[in-house]
Amino acid sequence: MTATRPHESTSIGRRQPLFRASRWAAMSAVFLHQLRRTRRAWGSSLAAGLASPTLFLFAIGAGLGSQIDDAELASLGVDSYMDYIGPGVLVVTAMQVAATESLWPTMGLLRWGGVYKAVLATPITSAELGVAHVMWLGFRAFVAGASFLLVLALAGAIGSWLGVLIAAVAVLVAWAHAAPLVALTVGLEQENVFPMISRVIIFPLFLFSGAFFPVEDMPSAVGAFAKITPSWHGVELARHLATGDLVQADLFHLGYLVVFCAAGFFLVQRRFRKHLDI
Amino acid sequence: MRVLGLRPLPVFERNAVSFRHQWWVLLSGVAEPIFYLLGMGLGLGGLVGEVELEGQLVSYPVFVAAGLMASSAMNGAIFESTFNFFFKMKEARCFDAMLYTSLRMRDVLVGEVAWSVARGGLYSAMFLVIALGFGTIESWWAVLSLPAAILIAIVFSSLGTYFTTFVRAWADFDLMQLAILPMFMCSTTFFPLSVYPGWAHPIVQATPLYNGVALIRDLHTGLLGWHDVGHVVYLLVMGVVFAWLTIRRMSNLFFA
Repeated sequence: MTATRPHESTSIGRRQPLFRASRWAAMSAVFLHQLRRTRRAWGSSLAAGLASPTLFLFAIGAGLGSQIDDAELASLGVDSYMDYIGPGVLVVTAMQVAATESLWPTMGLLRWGGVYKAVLATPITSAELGVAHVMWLGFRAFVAGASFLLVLALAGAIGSWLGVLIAAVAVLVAWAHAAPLVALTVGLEQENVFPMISRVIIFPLFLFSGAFFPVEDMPSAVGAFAKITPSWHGVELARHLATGDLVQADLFHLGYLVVFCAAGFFLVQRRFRKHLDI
Repeated sequence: MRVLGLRPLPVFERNAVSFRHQWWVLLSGVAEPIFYLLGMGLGLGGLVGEVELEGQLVSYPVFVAAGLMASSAMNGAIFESTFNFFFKMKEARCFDAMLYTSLRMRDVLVGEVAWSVARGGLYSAMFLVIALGFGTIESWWAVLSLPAAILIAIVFSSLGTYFTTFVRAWADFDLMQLAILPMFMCSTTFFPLSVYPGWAHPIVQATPLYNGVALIRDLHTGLLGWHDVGHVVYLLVMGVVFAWLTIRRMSNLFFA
């Protein structure tokens, strides 16, 4: 970017190596802009974001949990149902926050509001914008996850210091879902498929990723499908981190999430170049 | 259309026509309660087993299906009478246009409320058929659960519309979500009243959704009692009161 004037370096079709200082500067500029742009809404979105998982924790965990007898709880390997669902609810909430933000709000930034059109008029490339935007959604999920982690810790659902790492799992799960959905949104002209995605993909992932009951309790085909979703791997990993009883499979869960995220970021860069570069 | 009772019909028709290219968006609203029935009723039901209802043991899928049918009436009616009503009132300015015709305020409101009731009723009816397929209906009284669901939809349509007349911006709807979500989770939809401590019983019993859930559950199981008359009266009174308040307030807003 040395010899070009700013307006020429809008980098149409230009590819730069990933590890280059200017790339990271560009991405953090997008990130910081988002942080500043949304600063007024942080209070209410934090409250609204905490209300839903907290309600699930107490209504389903404690309320419905009181109807589950000890023998069933023992088969789940826990003393209380609230402890069982807590870490899982955190992970699927992070998934839901990031996935929902990948639909309407992302469309708003790309098309309606024109914020990202303005970004592309700067030296920031489309691929950098895509990566920075998904990173930003991961941060939103991190804030939601970390604050709910505090609720979980206060409710006594976290038995080990390793539980702190659940916030990181929430970010990975958020990226794993945000990346493919953002990659989809960037190519859409209209938002009319969003209600369908939200009802037929995101909500079932929330319920059937093993946060509320083992996926083995579902018909075998559905259970097998659940096991290839990144959210299930996240739920399992988070549950083991909460108790501190890690098993060898957790390494596989972590690897699966990392690979899924890497593929997602790769896809986002391709799609942003394809649809936003002239 | 000059016939008095048919005046709101064009308003209803306009809403129906506006969905003609997006009927699948309309119909897919029933997906959420069905997923809840599969997840909570059948998935979690294996862990829960049976719950106690009026001294008798009821299998958990039967228990939760009744709660979900009442909630789908609420959700359909609330969504239409808040978000969509606000959009039509403030963004699209539909009502200003309608009032330039021979329609009166109360015709517009009756048409709008009828449409949101229809949406809540549609979801409940679809859900009832699905619940029948899953075998969670235990009594012929369940035939009456559809009119009961429509009554619930009337209550939440008029409540939702009344609330929307106070809304200034989209962000105000967060307040509504803060009331609707706890009500959905805690109005004995997923677990019986006996779980709560004694002092909390009157609070739960005062919510409109609790009355709707209790009524539909008694109809689905056939375990009817005199208290069901109380639920019906409660819902009727609430629906009428808020419908009247809304008509008064909207007339003031548009003609004052």
